[in-house]
Amino acid sequence: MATLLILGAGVSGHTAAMHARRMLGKEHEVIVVTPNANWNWIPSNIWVGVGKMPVKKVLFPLEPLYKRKGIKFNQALAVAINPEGGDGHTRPFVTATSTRPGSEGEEIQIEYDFLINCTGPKLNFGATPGLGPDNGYTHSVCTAPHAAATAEELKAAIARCKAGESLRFVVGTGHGTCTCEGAAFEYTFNLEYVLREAGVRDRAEVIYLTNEATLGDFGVGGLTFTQQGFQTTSKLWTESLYRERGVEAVLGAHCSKIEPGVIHYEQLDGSTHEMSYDFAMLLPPFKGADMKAYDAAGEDISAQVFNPAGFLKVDANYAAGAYENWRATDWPKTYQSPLYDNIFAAGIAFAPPHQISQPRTSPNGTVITPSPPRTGMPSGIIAKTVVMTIVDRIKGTGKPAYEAPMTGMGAACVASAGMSFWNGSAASMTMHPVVPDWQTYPKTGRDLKGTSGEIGLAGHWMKNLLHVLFLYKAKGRPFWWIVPE
Amino acid sequence: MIDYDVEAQKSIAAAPMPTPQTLKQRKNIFVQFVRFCAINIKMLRVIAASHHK
Repeated sequence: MATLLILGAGVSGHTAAMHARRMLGKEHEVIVVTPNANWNWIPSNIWVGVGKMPVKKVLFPLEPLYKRKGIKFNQALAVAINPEGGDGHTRPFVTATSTRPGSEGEEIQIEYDFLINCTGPKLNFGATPGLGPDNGYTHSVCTAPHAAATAEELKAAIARCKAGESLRFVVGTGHGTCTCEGAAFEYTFNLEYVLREAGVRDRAEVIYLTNEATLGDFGVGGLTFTQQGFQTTSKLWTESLYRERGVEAVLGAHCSKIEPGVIHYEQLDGSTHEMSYDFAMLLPPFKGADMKAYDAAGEDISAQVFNPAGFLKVDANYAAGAYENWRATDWPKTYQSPLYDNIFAAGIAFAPPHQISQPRTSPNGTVITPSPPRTGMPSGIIAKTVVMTIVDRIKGTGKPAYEAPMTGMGAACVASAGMSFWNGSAASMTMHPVVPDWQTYPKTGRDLKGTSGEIGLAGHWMKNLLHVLFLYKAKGRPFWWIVPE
Repeated sequence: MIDYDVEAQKSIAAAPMPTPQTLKQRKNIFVQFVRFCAINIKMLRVIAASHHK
């Protein structure tokens, strides 16, 4: 009997748990440790955050599903990995602190044979003083409760506009190293849509404040694709949408401090500014889960297992150096720890070798570059690939590890720009590969046949379809595994 | 227009403005149904190429 322990139950962790349970016989254990009681379809948090979708439609409880499927569920926060055992354990184990109501703070230790770290991001609001809804002055849609609270604040702001006030709405990234610019883009245009719908657009100034050096970068260095017989760029395409919708932008910005009603930020040219705001939704930067690693003697080996941001090091080249030296081969393929061959990471939890967008630093030394996105489709594919490798190892097939490098993997991304079945719209994008491979595709970094972009109502239908399909899949309904990651 | 990032505003102002006809097409349910099918095919192709054996 083997024990597969999965830390986290987001897109990657839940995908891993469901596939592992399906692929492994009942004699093997699949255990999930996650601090959250509910699964959250995060892409639809955007709609919750503008009051277009009730929060219950993006959440469902994990425990009943896992009980039905035969997956052991521990509602707890993993705090340490002991990959060599020790402390009375002959097998490797993870230490976690219970977050279950009634037993909060109780420590549990769980032994494993294989471990997948899918802990996702720690929302690092603390990186910018004043950022975030809990200890700051800005809103967020990163979690379902954050999105629900943001919707209430937005409702109040719209009421003020209706009462005759003119307000400034700022949406974007709250730090120079944020990722998920696509989510900020979506919130910007959904906000703009609801302001129009409420009839107060003329009293609302909408500003997109981003760490991207150009619009349409999305943390992947932008896209080049073919449209109506021409090669165009996501920059031009995105700017066109900003012009059409009357949204202004501040680019290459690092928020250094947020005060009530004032955002302090620095731009790539080193200039510093203050911007007043009435409503701000700014995404936080991410860091890895606060986990430690210890060897058999109890020595702290966290620096070897994790990178400085707390993401788990895998089979990537972390010594690529300057941008000019970056290669597709820097990116991991198997997501296996180089130190422990029974530890893997999937989704945001794996340490990327470097950014995807060109790194930039202001003359003051401030890094203002999007971090590489590894959410959504890549996250699910990586999780499934890792599970396939582990299942082979448990079954003793002797096959080599499966590979899913982000330089060989595509992504489909639908960025909502307004939620309405008849009048909504979304930007539908595909890119292949996610990480540009300039050696294979020297002209644009990507395969033009697999890279596309278009805006329209069809995109909104697509986003709706994805919402329905992925919740169906996540809930383990009949033939759920047919729905691809 | 805000004066925080003049270059960004200039770049946005110089971007192509969709014509009323283009905007109508983006909402036309017949056109969009065809685009919906086309987007599905594009995405399925990318998905098929991305799931490693």
